Amino acid sequence: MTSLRSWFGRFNHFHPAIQLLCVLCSTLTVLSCMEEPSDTHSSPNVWFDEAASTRGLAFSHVSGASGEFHLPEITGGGVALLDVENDGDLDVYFIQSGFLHSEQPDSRRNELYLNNGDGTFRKSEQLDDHADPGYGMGVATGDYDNDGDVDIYVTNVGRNTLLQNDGTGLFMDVTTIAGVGDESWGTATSFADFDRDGFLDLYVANYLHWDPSTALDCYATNIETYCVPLHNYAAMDRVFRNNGDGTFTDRSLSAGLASAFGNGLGVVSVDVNNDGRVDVFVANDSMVNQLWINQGDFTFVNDAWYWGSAMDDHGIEKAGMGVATGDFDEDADFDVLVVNIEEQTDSYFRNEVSYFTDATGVVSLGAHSRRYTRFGLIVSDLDNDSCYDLYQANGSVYHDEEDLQKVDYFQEPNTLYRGTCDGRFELVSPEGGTAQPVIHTSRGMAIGDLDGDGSQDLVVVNKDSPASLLMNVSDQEAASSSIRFRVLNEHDRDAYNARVTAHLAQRILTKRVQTDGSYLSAHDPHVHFGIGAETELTDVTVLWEDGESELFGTFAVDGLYTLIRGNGETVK
Amino acid sequence: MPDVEHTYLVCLTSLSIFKIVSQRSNRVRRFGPKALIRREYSDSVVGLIAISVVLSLLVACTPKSEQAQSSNSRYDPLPNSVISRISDESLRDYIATLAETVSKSDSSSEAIGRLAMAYDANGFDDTAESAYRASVARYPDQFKWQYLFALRLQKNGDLESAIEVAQEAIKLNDAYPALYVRLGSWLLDRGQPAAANDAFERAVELGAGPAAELGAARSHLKLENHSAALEILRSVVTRTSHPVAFRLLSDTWRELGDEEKSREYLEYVTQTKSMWFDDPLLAEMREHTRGNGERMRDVELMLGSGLVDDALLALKSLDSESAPDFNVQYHYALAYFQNQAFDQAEQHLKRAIELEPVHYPSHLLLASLYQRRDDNVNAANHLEHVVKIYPKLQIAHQELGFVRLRLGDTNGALESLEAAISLDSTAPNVHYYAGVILGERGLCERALEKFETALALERNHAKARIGVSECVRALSLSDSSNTSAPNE
Repeated sequence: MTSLRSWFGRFNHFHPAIQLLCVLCSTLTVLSCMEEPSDTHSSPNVWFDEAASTRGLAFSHVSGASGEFHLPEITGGGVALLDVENDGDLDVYFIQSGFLHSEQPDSRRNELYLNNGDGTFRKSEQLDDHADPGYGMGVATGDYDNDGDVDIYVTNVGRNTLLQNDGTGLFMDVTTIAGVGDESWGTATSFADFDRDGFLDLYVANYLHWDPSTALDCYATNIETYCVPLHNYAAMDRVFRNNGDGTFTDRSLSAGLASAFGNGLGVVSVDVNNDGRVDVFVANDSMVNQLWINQGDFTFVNDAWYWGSAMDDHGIEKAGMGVATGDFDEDADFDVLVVNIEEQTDSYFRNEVSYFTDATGVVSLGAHSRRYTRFGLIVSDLDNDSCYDLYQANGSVYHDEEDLQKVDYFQEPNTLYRGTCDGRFELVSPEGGTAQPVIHTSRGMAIGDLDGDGSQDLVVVNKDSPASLLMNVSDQEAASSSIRFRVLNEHDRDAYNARVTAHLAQRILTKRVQTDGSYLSAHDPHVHFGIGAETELTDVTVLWEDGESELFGTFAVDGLYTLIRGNGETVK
Repeated sequence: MPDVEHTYLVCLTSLSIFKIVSQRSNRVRRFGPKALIRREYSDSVVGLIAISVVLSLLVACTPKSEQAQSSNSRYDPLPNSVISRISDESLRDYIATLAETVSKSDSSSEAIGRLAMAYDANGFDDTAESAYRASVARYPDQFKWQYLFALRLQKNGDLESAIEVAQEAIKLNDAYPALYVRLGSWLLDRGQPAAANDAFERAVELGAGPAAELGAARSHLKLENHSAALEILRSVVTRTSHPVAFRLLSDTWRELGDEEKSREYLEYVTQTKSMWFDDPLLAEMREHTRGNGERMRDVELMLGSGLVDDALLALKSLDSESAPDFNVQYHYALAYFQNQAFDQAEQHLKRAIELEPVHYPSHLLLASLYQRRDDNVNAANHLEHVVKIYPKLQIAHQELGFVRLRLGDTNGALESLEAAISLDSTAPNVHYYAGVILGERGLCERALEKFETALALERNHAKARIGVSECVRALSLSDSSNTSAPNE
């Protein structure tokens, strides 16, 4: 205060114009101080740069929306991050929807973008003959024939397609031979070895029975929009057992899937009860979820009611879309997060080994998550500080008169939450973590390190818009590093559902080899550990799919390592 | 910046401006006429700038809360361009009239509130939030707007603000039970079970009923206070068979490690349903619903919650206000069907089909109604309509198969049942009845296959089990007669 008064004494001796100028400046400063602070969220830094156009990712989704509001138009599509040519970098495979009436079959071609090795892309023209003519929805990736390259399974509104990779990135449609051309409206899908015979089986979630000729007109506040799924009958999911000779057998009925089914949109195959067998969690739209507990003989029992994951804590069946798993609370079992429609919170099912607790409020997701309709979902360490963060790709499914003022009636911003390392998530500003918010009708989303810099990038499919490529810049200045593992089994394929456990200082982190989850999408199978300011992971152990464990030792920061079965020290 | 220092700086700045202006006025008086004119002009500019700066400072000196109140009391009404595009005439006129009343003359609490409720009830979520905010800012002592504002904020996804506003509302009226039920639920969502428990217990005191009690049990469960949760739940299930009550009982036993008891209570949880509780203010808001779309959604919700009489009332008003609508007639029928008033249901279904002959749900429901009356001929007739309209609808083929079987048309029945199986092979009864027909025709091997499938789908299907044993016996008899034949 004293210094202010003496400053004012001297101020009287200045030229009046200067005095006035000073006063105006100070006034403006004061007024600017009076403004309300912008939103109260924590870190104002940018986590991602949108770089699709500058890096050559030119895919643009086409829903074929014709004004008739056919339900499939608002549902697709997905994306996969995979290394089709085994050259060590991640390529991007986009699922195109297209026009429902097939007068424009070209509109439905899926697109493959090959990585130039530095996170820039070129469109593969070779795929055109095998681009799958279906109205595309989702995708799973996996080496179903154990020949050392990754194959692709595509779900459609109608017959699904299995594309076999010849190892060079050329694909052949082997659906008929393989016997996996389910004709329903397929959505999320997942490769997993349910019978532990070394070959990947296949789970396919189906949405509902829908036919354009009998689709009803539905209204929200008096304008026509998309129907809720309850106007249709739910379709049964399918599970195909891999025969090990390039063919599959549809075991849906004998496996018990007819005992419960819903409008499936999200799927993860994960061992929830730590019995060494891969179970399946299915998020259903506006119906209770299923949790298929693997009985070990290729039969499953839906125990979602007992486990407490059929509905939310309020006793409500939610409109489940995307789903993600991870050991979020670091207790060596896998928790499940499901995202839902606007006005419904996310559902965080915390695993207590023999049941789930709905702990959505405890992790602070109850407060903020209702605003948008969430589809794509990533729970991973996005800033390499060793704690899980959360990214949600959003976009509404119906519109009303208020939305008619928008260019895209269904658009919503994406959201990013930072994991606080004490088990909570807090909303990040700017919304979605990009300098300019990504505001589209977003659907599928997949994660992987596209430029090999040790941080994880995101690819998001936007309905009727160009895809977003969100290059991670979050750890450029912070003390944060990562270690990544490729985990290969005895067939030299990614060991899906193998668990990697590692010590990070005093903590024990558990992750699994997974490509499934999110919404209609497939992730990079590498296991990623952000390690913050630490320099190494110790006691890295892999629990293989058949229950055997191997210790691989200590790994230093900023490395990409391959853990091959048989190269570690067997642990009893 | 700390408030004291901030105010001090603002006041010093104001004083300095007055000082500059007065100094310049003194100087003007010391110079000649030309200079006077030039300097008068210059001084006027300086003066104007000074006045504007002072005004700015006055604004700056205004307490923040007052500023916020002033800006909050304004709201962005729905643009005329949007209102004019509302397709439903009754809704368009209603919104336009209310908006005009508010903008022209009447800015009373009721007028603005009515407009806010109209926006809210008809799906204009953002505009409703803005209008409620204005109502609350202008009439901060009125509970109704605070409460409805909190509800709208929560629905729009701003739970933090909703809780804040709800807590303000309690200061105005601490005896509105529904507010405590909602607040408890929101606090649970925010991860504050202890605070939630306080809210639920207050709701129980105020007589909010089982919804509040179940909320209290939920919060006890979150607090791992299992015995308190059990006590409440045991009492509630003697008064209501709501699935949430049994689910919570199941959860409690599960957490206590008694899996058997937990699963036993789960047997009662056959559906999900939210717990209804009385909320007169919400009902008042919903009375502002106009146009069929939103009101039909309300009707569906009412029917889904078993509030058939309320649904019938809403349908009556819809029917009287709008042009004949097959959907209204169909929902009437659904409501009467739930009330087992089948004659009235039949009338409305016939009317719905008259208005929209290809509305297959009406045909399907009518067929179901005729089946109840054993009028299989009429049932078959409507099911055949459904199959024509929607050939991929499994349930239509299935029901047609059953009806034809009752009519003795086994060929038609088998055809329908096979069609149903080709569309969805998971209904055990379809396989079973197909097996019955095949068995009667002496095609035991094929019948056995059908019975076995039915059993695979439903392990306790007693009739299918009998079918299997009869077929096995018939087949073994046939085998033995075949093998014994040469000897004979």
